[in-house]
Amino acid sequence: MIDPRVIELINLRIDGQISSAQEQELQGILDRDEPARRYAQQLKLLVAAMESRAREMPPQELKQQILSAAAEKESHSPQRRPYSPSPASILRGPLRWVAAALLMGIALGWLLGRGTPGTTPIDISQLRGTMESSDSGKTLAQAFSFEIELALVDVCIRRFRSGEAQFLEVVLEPHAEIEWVLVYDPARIQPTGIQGNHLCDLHSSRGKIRIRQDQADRWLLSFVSRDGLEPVPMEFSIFRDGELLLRRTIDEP
Amino acid sequence: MKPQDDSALVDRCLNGDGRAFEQIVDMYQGPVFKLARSMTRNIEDALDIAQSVFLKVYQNLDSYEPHRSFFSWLYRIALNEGINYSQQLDRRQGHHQNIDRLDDHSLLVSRNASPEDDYRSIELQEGIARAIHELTRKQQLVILLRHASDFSYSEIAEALQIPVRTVKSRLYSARHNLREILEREGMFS
Repeated sequence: MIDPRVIELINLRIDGQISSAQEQELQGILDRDEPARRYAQQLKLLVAAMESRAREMPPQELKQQILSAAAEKESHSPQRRPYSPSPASILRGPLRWVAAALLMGIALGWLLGRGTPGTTPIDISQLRGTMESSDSGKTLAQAFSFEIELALVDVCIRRFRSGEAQFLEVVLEPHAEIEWVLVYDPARIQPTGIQGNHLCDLHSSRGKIRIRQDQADRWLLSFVSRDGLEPVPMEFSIFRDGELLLRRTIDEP
Repeated sequence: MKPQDDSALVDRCLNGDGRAFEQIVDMYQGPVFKLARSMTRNIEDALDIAQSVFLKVYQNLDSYEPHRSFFSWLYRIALNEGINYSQQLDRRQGHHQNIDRLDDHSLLVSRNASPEDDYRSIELQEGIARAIHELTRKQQLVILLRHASDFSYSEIAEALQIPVRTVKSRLYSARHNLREILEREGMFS
């Protein structure tokens, strides 16, 4: 076991950050401590091996290749949509908080308490809906679908499992103009959302949440967890005029 | 470049200013290429990865969140591309690479080194390329920024928007873990 202090000194030496006093101290240790000396030699070899390959500079043609490829892509894809700011930038602009809207939590909250603010977990199995199962022979897929009609939005929650992955899809069909929605993964407290035609993805610690507009005025939020079938709670927050109207956590049914 | 400058550049790019994307390429092709080079066996593959990275950046600029570090975002894309490349290569050719197919002559090999030294140097580099995949993403980022892209502690801290002490801690842990893996595989014997 090498003393952490010695390990730090060895690393400082490798990075050229060691002071002369520290260098003297380290050399004294290495002169009499065989395991520490071996550790230092191995780290030095390791770093030299990594850096030797990184000495090469990019060839001049790389830039042109990239620009040509980008131009090629641009000519074969729909015109780039106008830039709209991300939810994070919206949050920084207080005026943009006005007329905020929706989401699933509001639907669920509406069912349980007509939009009363709170953080009560909701078991979606309590909601009316249908369950479908199918067995392809290789994977069993189970889907739970719930359709909720509200004045503001229709929400369809569909959760299914296939193999080792689980999927949660939330389809939102707003009837009113919706400015944005915040969805939080409570494990990370990292917001994502929908604003105008701006789409963004959330990479959570548990998987990936993707939001896309699958039809005009219809949004699809999907979550895929690849770490087995553990429940994946998600938190939805709805704001209006900068005020938190509702916060709900949705748990595994 | 400061994060707010990056954001302004991204804004310009999204608004159709082609020159802005060119500037992004100018600024970041070096670190991206070096990262790719450190994870590949030949220059052609590194060029392919670098090109693919910038295409992904170009196509996904609208998902970049301005409050985050642009470089960190871009570097993660590059890291993922490098890892995907390695995984595809492993699937195609098996976990252990055929050393005869390497075209690296600029490795850790001195002109006067013996063939045996040459072989061991190349083997060590291959071992490192594999072992890097066993590190956490955070450790991968820091160690590749330091040794593939030659960033200083403070440059890494600025790029990843983390304190210098965190950079040191992750870097030292990454080296320690790499050493453990390589020793376990008999690379230092």
